[in-house]
Amino acid sequence: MGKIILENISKTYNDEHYAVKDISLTIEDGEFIIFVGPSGCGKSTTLRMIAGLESISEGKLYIDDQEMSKASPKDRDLSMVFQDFALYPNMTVYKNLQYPLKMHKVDKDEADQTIHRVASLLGLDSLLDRKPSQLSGGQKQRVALGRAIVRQPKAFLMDEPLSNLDAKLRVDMRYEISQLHQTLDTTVVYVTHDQTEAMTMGDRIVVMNHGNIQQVGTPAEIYNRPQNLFVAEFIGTPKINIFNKELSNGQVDWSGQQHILVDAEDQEVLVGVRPENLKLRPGKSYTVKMIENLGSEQHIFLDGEDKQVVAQVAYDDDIQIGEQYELTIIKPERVNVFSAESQESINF
Amino acid sequence: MDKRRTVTPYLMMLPAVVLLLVLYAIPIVTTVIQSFSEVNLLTNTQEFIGLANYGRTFSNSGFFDTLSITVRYTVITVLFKMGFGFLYAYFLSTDIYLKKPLRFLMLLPWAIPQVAVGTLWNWMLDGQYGYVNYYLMQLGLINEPISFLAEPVSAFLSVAFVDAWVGIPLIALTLISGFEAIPKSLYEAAKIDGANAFQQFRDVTLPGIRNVFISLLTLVTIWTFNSFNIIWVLTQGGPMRKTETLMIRIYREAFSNFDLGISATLTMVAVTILTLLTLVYMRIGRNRDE
Repeated sequence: MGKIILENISKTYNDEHYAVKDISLTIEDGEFIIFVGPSGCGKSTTLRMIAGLESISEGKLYIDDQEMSKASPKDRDLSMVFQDFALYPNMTVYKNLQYPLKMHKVDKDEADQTIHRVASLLGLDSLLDRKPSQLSGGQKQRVALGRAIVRQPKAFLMDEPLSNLDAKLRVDMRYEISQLHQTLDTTVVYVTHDQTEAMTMGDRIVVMNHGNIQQVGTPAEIYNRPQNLFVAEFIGTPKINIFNKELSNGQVDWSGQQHILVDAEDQEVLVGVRPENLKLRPGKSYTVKMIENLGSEQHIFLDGEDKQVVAQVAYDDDIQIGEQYELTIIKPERVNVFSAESQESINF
Repeated sequence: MDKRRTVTPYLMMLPAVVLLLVLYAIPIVTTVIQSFSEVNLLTNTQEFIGLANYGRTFSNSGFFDTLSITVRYTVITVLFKMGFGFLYAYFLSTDIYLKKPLRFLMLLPWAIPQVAVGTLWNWMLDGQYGYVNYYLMQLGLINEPISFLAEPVSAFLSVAFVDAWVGIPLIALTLISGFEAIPKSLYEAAKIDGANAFQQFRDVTLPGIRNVFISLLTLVTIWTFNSFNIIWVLTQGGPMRKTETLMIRIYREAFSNFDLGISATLTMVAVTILTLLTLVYMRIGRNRDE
């Protein structure tokens, strides 16, 4: 079991400024949930409040229906993987894995068996006698994961665990952590600022900004139906294109030929179109300024009258810098429309 | 071009090498030679006499008394220094109020010249007019003044205390940087793993400052073994030579008895002891790293 409930939780250091303000969320048992947001959005603070490393200023925290708002980290039965791995430098890999078991007074033989089982699960068998200083980044990461797993806690808390690894290793570890979650079926609360990690690993994503939850949903929901402009702009690479338009009589006019239907009052709106939802056709409105060829696709950066737009096209489309185009929307039903005033979504 | 490349580095090192030779190599070689010689300061002549100085030194029972005093003095003072330095550093590295002013205050004893500290404590510990006696009597802890620096045991402890008082700031300062170099995440990991405060101290703090501690212990032992200023200003080795450490004796043999041969021999003994001690500490440091 590992159900975690956050009930109107806030964190303030001086009663004026809130690092986290009034967030409520239920994390289901066995769920892989990802907190994502820019630096200082409160995601790590939230994780640390769940862990018991930060006190909760207001609100309540329940772990498996027991109130744990003031419980010590030890009593919450959670384990944590840190950004810098936090391996005990003076202890061997074996002793690092043994430490949480020792602190919880697990029988030595039983502990030994568990350590070997976890070590083989993570491919650490041959490293058990090494000190952390003799390990590579990826190996350290595995040991840190092992130390979290070994005690079979109610949930794993992970605070940007991949940000100290190089790009290739990060991709490998992303896969390994997801696999591990599938094998162990334990709740994972994962904090990252990397939206690719968020999109690829989580069952659900919690997007945070300025200490508030902006949206909670599956990766597909977050990507396709962002509730506000912040979420739309934060998730997705390259960034979503935003156009200032007028909504009148239930539709937004797109270059005279296409219309986006929105069931809302007449108002100024912001229309968000993902780069892959744009198609280039011959015209005069936009000029190609730069092309990023990623091999599998191309990102075309175009300058319009008053704004820059990015479109994603197939790898073999023949487009040259300096050429001029018009933009067409491929699927108008996938366009996001936000109120210009509130910046909240008005079409989903 | 090649020649310049070969010569230039040596030219640039020359001033440092000359300094090292003048300040270290020559005095060391001179001392080694003098320890095998009889030196006459009046005629400025010296005569090779083999191991005679060593024979005289080791057959003199006073030498072993001095050695014993030196060892006891070093052990007690180093314990004082490291113990209090450690506690001081530990509290100043935790989240306490007035951390910055306390850190500044901490450095004061170290900033005062040692001779001034010695003189200051000489007054403080004075048997008739000293503050220490005055307050101890005011508090009713003693009935009559104690001649701290006139009685063998109290003089020994007083000197050790003052030496420690001067030495603690540097130790605390060094250990504070040691404590602060330990990543916070290690403590957090230990907390989540279930370690209590004592276990965190044992398993994170102590291993974290071990290397700093051992290096510091080596240096402090050498400095304390070599202590001179404080002892000389406070007691000059008295009463009844009960605070006469090897360094005081070396000085006395050279500049009171004008026996440079014996003084050099004692210096060689001190150097040998300190070298052995350093090797032991280095060994301890290396063993634990493997």
